[in-house]
Amino acid sequence: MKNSLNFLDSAADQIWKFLVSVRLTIAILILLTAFSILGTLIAQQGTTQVPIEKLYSLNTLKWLHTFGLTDIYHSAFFVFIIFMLAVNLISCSFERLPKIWREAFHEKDPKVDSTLIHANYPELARKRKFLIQSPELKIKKYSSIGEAKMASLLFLQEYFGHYSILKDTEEQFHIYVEKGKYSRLGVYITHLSLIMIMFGASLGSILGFEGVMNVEEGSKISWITHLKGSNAGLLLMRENGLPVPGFLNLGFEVECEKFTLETYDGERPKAFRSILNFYENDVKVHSAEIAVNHPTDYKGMTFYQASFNKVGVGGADMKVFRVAVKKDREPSQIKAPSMLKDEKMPVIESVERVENVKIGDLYRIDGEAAFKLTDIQEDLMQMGPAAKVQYYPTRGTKKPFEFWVFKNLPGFDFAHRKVTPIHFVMEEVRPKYSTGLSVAKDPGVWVVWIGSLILILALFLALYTYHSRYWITYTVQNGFCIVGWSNKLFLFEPRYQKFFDSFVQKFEEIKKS
Amino acid sequence: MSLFQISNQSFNIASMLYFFAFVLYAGQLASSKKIFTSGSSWMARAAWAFHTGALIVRWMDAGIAHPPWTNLYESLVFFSWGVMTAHLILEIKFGFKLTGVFATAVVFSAMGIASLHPNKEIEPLVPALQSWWLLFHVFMACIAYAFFLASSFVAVFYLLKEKVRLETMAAVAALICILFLGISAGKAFFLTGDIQFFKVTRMANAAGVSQDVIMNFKGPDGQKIQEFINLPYAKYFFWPLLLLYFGSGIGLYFSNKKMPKYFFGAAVLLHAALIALIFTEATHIQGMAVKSNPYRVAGIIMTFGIAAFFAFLFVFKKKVIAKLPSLDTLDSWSYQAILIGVPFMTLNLVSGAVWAYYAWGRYWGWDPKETWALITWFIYLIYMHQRVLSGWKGRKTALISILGFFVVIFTYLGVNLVISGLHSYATS
Repeated sequence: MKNSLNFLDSAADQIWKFLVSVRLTIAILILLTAFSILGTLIAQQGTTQVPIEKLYSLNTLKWLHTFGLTDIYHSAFFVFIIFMLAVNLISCSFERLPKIWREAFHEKDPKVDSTLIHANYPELARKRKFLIQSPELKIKKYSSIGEAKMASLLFLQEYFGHYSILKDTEEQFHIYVEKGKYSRLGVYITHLSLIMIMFGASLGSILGFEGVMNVEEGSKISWITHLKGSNAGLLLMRENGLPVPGFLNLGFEVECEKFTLETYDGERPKAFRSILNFYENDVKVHSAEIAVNHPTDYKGMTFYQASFNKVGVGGADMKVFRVAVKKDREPSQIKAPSMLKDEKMPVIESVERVENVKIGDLYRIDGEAAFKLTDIQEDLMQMGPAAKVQYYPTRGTKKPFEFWVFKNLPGFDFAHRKVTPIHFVMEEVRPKYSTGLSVAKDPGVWVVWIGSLILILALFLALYTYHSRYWITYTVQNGFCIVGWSNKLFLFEPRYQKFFDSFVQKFEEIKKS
Repeated sequence: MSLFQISNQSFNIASMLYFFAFVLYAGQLASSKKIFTSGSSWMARAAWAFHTGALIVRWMDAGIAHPPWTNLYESLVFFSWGVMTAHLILEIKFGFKLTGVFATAVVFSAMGIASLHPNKEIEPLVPALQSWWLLFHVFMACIAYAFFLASSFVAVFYLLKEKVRLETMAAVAALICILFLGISAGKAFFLTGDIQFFKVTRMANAAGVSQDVIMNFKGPDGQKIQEFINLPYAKYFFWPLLLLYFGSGIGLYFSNKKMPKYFFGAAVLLHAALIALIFTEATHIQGMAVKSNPYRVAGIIMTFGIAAFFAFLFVFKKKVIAKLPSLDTLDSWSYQAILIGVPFMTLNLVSGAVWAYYAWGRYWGWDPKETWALITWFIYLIYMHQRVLSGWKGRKTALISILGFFVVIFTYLGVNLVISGLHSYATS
């Protein structure tokens, strides 16, 4: 019984030793590196533009699938390594933090042992644990020990703002100064923040999801497609009681009120943005304009402007010309577009430009006449873009005129319908877009951000600051001896030199004055 | 003169001064004459001043929201600025001039590769790049990479000082040359013997259409129409070069005789001729809508730099070693450069994640570039943990630091040559 307990104890001990070992850390880091590299060399599912089925032959693909190499970063093995990293980090913190805490904040030994440190300094210096200056500084000019003490305390007060006197007798005094003890926590806070980031990331992957939404300008959609996420199965959209794979019902509607595309030279997109409205039970509850790099949040989900697609014709830019019917009018500066060269020019009274006329919308002209477009074609009978106009000459007209106008034949309407005062010209067909949104819910993202912030601050604390201690001894026989210690000697050394020099300098100054 | 022209002229002047600085730095490795020791520093500082000025002027020209590091040309120029800045900081702070020869070599090569880019115009930003995170993210990457490179430069000197057999190091260098030259030549070379060095659009030769139109011309399948011009005589250079490196590498590894060194020297000369060929060819076809493939050129120039350095050491080994500071000093410098690099690398990763979150809707997506940045980070984490906790010092850590050099270069340029991802300068 006792033996087996012993065995269990030692086994637990062994496991603990394994968990807190640096070897494990390094092994994990090497494994993570190796598999990350592998993941960039083998095309991963969902990260390439071309589906991986097209990149590899069927046979290769079968092998890759067998070893889980087509989705390395989400494979159980990879997740396990990351999990082990977290375990390793936590165990190491448990193992080492209490010791460091005691050493940095509670340990009184270094103070007490100051005489011991002075006695053993050559040995300690050889082990590179302490930095030591010559025991006999060349500042023995003080007639009394009191003067030397006053001078050192003045200097330390100025240099550190604090000090503690360990021993104060007629023959000698010891002073102890310490700085930057919080630096010791840097490493642990760094590790803690990494655990926090991993925790945030797993929150995201367990509770979050991502998907795609394509909303046509002017329409509403209440689901997302291409759903990814481990709890996605619970949220699937159902049709006739059966889940539709890859679809998620949002429970609210998203409308794309307007999509705008700006280009640099007609080709390269400069900016694209969508005005989105969110409806709950047909009530508008949220509205936002989103663009690339500027998403919006609703109900814990983030809506990103990801892409856009042209889905057809949305409207047309129209020009409405009012032509003078009486012949004695002065000709105006504005010329009507003409189809034929020798044609007699009509006299234009006014021109109105109506941008982005949508199909079916009624537009009033001077409160009297009105028109609407009933059809817009990008290429009508190989004559280019065209719009079908319904023209109502007076209010209440029952039977409107209906005719086509062509972008490439701007004088067509002038030539075709000579007697009417109103003529139409189509300037441009406006394409209709659907805005491509990428939708993501990631409840862990704030944990990741806070973790990252802590990580950066803690790294600076851990790498660029150090904990240092000084023991200053004065004996009547030997004069001053200063010993310095730090947890990061390589950072401390130049600083120690500076401290030492300014110490000597201070004494020179006081002596002179 | 417009701001744009001023900036371009300053870049040219800076490149020229960097070359002089490189020669002077190489000289001061072997000689203590004042023209070499202080001349090199002042030349490098002058070049750096022009370089900095040019960047500022370009930035002024493009507008505050468009920092001068948004496409490959700008990225190369800015990256080399970072390398030089890191070097000058280390030089002024620690007085360590010996790595100047590496820093100026890297910078001069990067500027050279950049100069092959016919399109140096300030390009309009695609929507995803219109973010303040761009400014921060790339700046952090640049600082981190620059200090990592500086660390590896010192590490090479550490190995030299530690009396690692120079021939063995050169043999490893030859192996690396073969590897990188092979990657640079590309798969097509080994299949057909052609190296696709210059991209040209199909219509460019026929009609005098402007570069801009051609670059945006799309074929019926929506793909940009592009063809490649092969580097002429490539196979007459490449196969002998690979064979020479291979032969001399084997020879250097197994024997101490002089013959392999001569072969190695011959390889370096042939290598130089290959680079000369690329640049002559590039000037020949300048003006056509042609782009050299910068990643391939980078591989060839970088390997040349490595090989040339060892050829130089064969001649001046003793003098260089005599001028090096103590092993402890070299070791600590190499370590400290990494200590500066790591927090910036972390900032680089974090800022990239924040930006990706706003632009693409996720903070981490295992994009190859992202993944390789993470790999770089891991390498230096391994370095630090081994150093602090396992007491690794000297040769072992120097080797990790040199491995770091290749990882950094691969993350910066190699990823884009071998694997394409979302990062913009992949395509330009």
